[in-house]
Amino acid sequence: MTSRESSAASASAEQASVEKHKRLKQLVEAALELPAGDRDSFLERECAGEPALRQQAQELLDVYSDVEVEPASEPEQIGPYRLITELGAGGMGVVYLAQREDGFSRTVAVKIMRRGMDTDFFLSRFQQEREILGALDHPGIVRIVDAGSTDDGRPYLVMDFVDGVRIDTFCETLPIRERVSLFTRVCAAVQHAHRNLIVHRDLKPGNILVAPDGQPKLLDFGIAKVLDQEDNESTNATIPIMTRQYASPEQVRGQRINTASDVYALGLILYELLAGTRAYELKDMPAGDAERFICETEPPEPSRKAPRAAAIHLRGDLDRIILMALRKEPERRYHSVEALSADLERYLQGRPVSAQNDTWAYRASKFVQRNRTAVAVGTMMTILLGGGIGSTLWQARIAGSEWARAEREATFAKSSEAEARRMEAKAEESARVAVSERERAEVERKRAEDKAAETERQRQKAESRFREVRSLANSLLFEFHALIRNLPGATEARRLVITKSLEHLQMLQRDAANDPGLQAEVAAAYEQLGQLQGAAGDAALGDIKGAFESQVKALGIRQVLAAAHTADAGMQRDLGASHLRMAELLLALKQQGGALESAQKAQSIYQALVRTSPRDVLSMLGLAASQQASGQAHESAGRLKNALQSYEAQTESRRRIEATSPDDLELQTQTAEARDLEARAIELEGRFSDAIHIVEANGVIYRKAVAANPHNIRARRNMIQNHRTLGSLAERTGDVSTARDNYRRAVDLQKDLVAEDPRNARMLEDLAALHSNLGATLIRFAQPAEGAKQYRLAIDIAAELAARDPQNSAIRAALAGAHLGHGQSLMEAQQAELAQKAYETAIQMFEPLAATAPRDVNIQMHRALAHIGIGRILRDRNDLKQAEKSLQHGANVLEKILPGSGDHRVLSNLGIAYNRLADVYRLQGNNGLAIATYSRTLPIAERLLKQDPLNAMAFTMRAESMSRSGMIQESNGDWTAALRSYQGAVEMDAKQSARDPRDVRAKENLAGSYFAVCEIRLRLLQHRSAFEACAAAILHWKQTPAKAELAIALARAGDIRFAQAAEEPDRAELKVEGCKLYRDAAAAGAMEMEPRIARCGQ
Amino acid sequence: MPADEHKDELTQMLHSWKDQDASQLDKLVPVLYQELRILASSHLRRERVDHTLQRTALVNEVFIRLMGQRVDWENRSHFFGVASRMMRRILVDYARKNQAEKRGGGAQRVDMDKLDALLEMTAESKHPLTLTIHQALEKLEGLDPRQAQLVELRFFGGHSIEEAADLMSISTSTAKREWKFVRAWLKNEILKEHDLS
Repeated sequence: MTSRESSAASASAEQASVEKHKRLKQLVEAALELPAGDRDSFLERECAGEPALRQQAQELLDVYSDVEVEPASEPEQIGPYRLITELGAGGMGVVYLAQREDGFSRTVAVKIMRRGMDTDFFLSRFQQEREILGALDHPGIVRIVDAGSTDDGRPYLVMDFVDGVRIDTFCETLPIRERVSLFTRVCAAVQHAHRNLIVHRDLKPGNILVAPDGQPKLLDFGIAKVLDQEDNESTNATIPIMTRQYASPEQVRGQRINTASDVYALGLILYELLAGTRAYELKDMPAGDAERFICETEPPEPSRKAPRAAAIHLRGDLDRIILMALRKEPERRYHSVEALSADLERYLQGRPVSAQNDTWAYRASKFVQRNRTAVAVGTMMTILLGGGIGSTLWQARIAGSEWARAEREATFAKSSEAEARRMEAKAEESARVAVSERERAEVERKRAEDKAAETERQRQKAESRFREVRSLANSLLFEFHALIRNLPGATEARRLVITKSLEHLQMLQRDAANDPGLQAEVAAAYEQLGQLQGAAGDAALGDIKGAFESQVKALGIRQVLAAAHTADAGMQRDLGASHLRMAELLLALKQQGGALESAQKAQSIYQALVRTSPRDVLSMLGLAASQQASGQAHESAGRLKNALQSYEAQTESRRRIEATSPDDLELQTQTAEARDLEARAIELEGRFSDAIHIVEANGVIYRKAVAANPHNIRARRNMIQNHRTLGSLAERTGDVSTARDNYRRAVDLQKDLVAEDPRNARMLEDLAALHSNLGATLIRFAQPAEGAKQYRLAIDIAAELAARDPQNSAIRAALAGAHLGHGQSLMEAQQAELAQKAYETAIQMFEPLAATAPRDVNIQMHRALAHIGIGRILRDRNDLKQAEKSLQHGANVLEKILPGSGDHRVLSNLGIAYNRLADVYRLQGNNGLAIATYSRTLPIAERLLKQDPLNAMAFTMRAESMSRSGMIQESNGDWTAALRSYQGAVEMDAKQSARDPRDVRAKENLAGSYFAVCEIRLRLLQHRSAFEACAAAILHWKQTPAKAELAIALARAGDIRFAQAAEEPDRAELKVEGCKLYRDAAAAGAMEMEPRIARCGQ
Repeated sequence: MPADEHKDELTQMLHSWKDQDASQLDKLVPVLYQELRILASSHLRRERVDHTLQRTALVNEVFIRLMGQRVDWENRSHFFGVASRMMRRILVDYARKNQAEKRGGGAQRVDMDKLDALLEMTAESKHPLTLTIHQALEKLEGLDPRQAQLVELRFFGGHSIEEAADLMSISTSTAKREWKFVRAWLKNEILKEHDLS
């Protein structure tokens, strides 16, 4: 054939194959539409006379798979482990028995993630399981010994192999008591997980094996640890009906899951172990019915379902214990697994158990949990009532810093919990007694009224009045709570009681016109009532306005008394204290102006007192307290300078107080606490180094206090706060390692506190905040995954608290902030999709908060950050229009709160927002606008640096602006301008890096900036300077994990040497050096180095 | 500076991509790849860019830098087509090199049961099917260029089915159907080759 003929022939042959291919596709697709049986005959018909086609079509049909990914068998060897046999399959992975072959020869269980499940979502879960198991160190929890990934990138976990049987099988031959005893060991393991804030969520007999030595072991933390809401939903979607067998009502309803869900599961397991059958048999129920059943049907008593021999043991205590764990409402079960275990221990020791039968009162009343707090507050007040109302309240005011109050709350909450429980038990037995109590109190009240109508007031009568008021207040305000609480309409009754007390006090007040002592008592009673009305944390009782009104009345009386007895220092002090109390309430009502006024009134009173008696410590304390209150009022209104003045004045006063009793650690501590406020105000101004001095000095004192009193909560809280503040300040000045160390310490100390008092909301709040702080620092330490973990811990805690107390906006703000931080860490860890979800969650939470608090700098700023975070993700996704919108929104919010707030963080974040916005303009091609927007960071950075020349944020911001501007200038061909920009970036990055030699990110940034300078110099043919810059880049990249960049820099440096060698051929050493650099570059992993190395002739 | 010269050629190459001048591509691919890395290191360094998710953003950035203009719809899709093609060349070269260095050389053993999973993954230098798929693709290009492009975008470019559909201007359902068929076809080709060897 001629060439033309052959090419024509091949052209038509090509055409033929194309046609055939098309037909093949049509055939296969058509065949797939048919049922399998008809396919053969279909192909016969269609491919008549074309056996080759038929065969090909058949081949394709054989390999065709609809499933996205087919499950395939595992290779025999994974890392050093040889897989022997499959042990079982779970939700996310398959578990194999395996043996380690490399001389360590041990038998293990290897859990490998299934194929097709390596999406971000499941990978992070798997990673979580690894982290969880890694973090849990307990004989009752299976131990993780190794981890890794397979050749095709799927992660696996290696655990100790537990050669045991399922716990239900194991128990079949055990007597009841031993089953209970074994079960308490399971509880210990679960409790250990809870202490580490991990909820298992999938407890069932299949997940608990008993080893040959009798030690039960928990397995499969595959769906452990609750995250935020969306996780709840998706988990419910993937739990098959089988596992639903052990699901709690809240799990089934998709509600918040916490440790109580594990308690429920344990209850079901115990039921099964003791009664021999399940509490509910859900296997054949359709899905909807099963859920309803779980949520609504009460399980039968275990003793009724157990065989006769066992039933005898179960009736009574064990029945009650199990049923208590199985209560439908989480808050009505055992508070913790430990509580459950403790009750079981009591049963084993023959002691009375705490589980009670469900009574009508319990079922009807929804207030059991809330009432505890109310009772706690009430108890606190009445205990204070005991010794000299006026001065004690006032002492409370002096102690005034949040810590003292919290500590009191903590201590009293604890003791009153026990108290309350006893009260409940008593109240339960006698509903009728409650009624008669009320009647008795009514009679009491009436008698008091009659007495008040008498005209003759003698000293003795006055004294009996004192007693009367006290006992009345006692009974009205305290005993009633316990007794009426269990009745329906408890809130109403309580309100009634308070109203009655008010009425009674009003009458007393009228009659006390000539009796200053009684008047003082009445004023004190009003103050106390006000405390009760304003009780925080109890929405039913919380009535700030009412508290305010009571306080106004109290204040009125005190003013009258003080005016009439100007020489009586005690009365004057009481008036001062009353003003302070008022200031506190007004602050809570956000009326900073009024608060300031009251604080200043108090201040002038105390100042006058101190002037007349300079040794009067009580008045000095009062003065200090009022100065603090003024400071707080100023700070709340955003006037930092004035706040600082007040705080400094307070410190002065406290120093003088200290001087009266120089070795008094308590006084020193109070001074340190006062200085903490000062330091915080200075920090907000941006003067970090000054703040650090103060905080470090305070730390010395706090350490002494803890050493003297290691269990004292206040001392420990001060220490924790100290670490936290130091961490925060270190972060601001760029000393990332100090920050991390301090936060870690703070977290550890706080965890100790929480462990001792796990229900204490305040402590949990603080722990959540500390986790957030640590998370933020870890991001800067280039450990975003670790940071994300911390944020998740914070989210867990905050979410739990928010669920308990939905009205508390501070907690909701903390939760939103934790989601924000989580988003930031996910962003850094390259998980943009998860990050976006986290940001969106944060925004959703911030919007309502922001609407109600437009001047709250914290909330607005964090809200802005969430928008900015999303803007960045959108920018990366090239969704530029939306990115611009989000970023602009964020910037607007910040601009709005900027004036009037000297808060440096607002400035910093605004700078970041401008940088991001400029990025978007740049990507949209709007270079002019981009450069202009980048330059907007200059005045911001200058302002920040003026406050503190070490402000790390300022450096970062400017470095970014300049390097991006440089990019634009470079792409415009404006080399000189670009060089200037890049040099500016180098300067900023160098300052940043010098602060902390361990800051890896800073080094990377610096190296990158140097490299950019090198490239520009090259364009300008300034070889020597270019080489210097590249050498600097190499130097710094060598100290970071950035291998690829190092390789490029080495290659570039080699290029420069060769270019120089071309210009100066007589300098042979240039070529030699260039060759060495090329070889180094290749060794570091640079690609395509062969042609260059070829030039070296070796 | 060699890189500069290459850059102009690169631009030219991108502009004339429609002509599919493969020889130019071969010369400039290493340079472009280098450009990508440099860009990553010195300009986007504050946001580390080695995750596949960021690939498209990075490549976008390169495009802007080189073309100096706003990315609009047409250019984008044809640009990503180029990028996937480039990735393919780079990875194939790398895989070839790796093969040569391995003792014994020859095709890597592939577990046939894992084929489906492997086909769904994105090509990396260590992926056992890189070379095999490349060869199969060369055949496929002659039979159905659209299907070949789909494989290139997905396997070498790392795009999802939706993204690939978007870039090819076809509907997602069409893309999915095509993908199912072509995956079966690829499987078949691979199996046949292994049977014969």
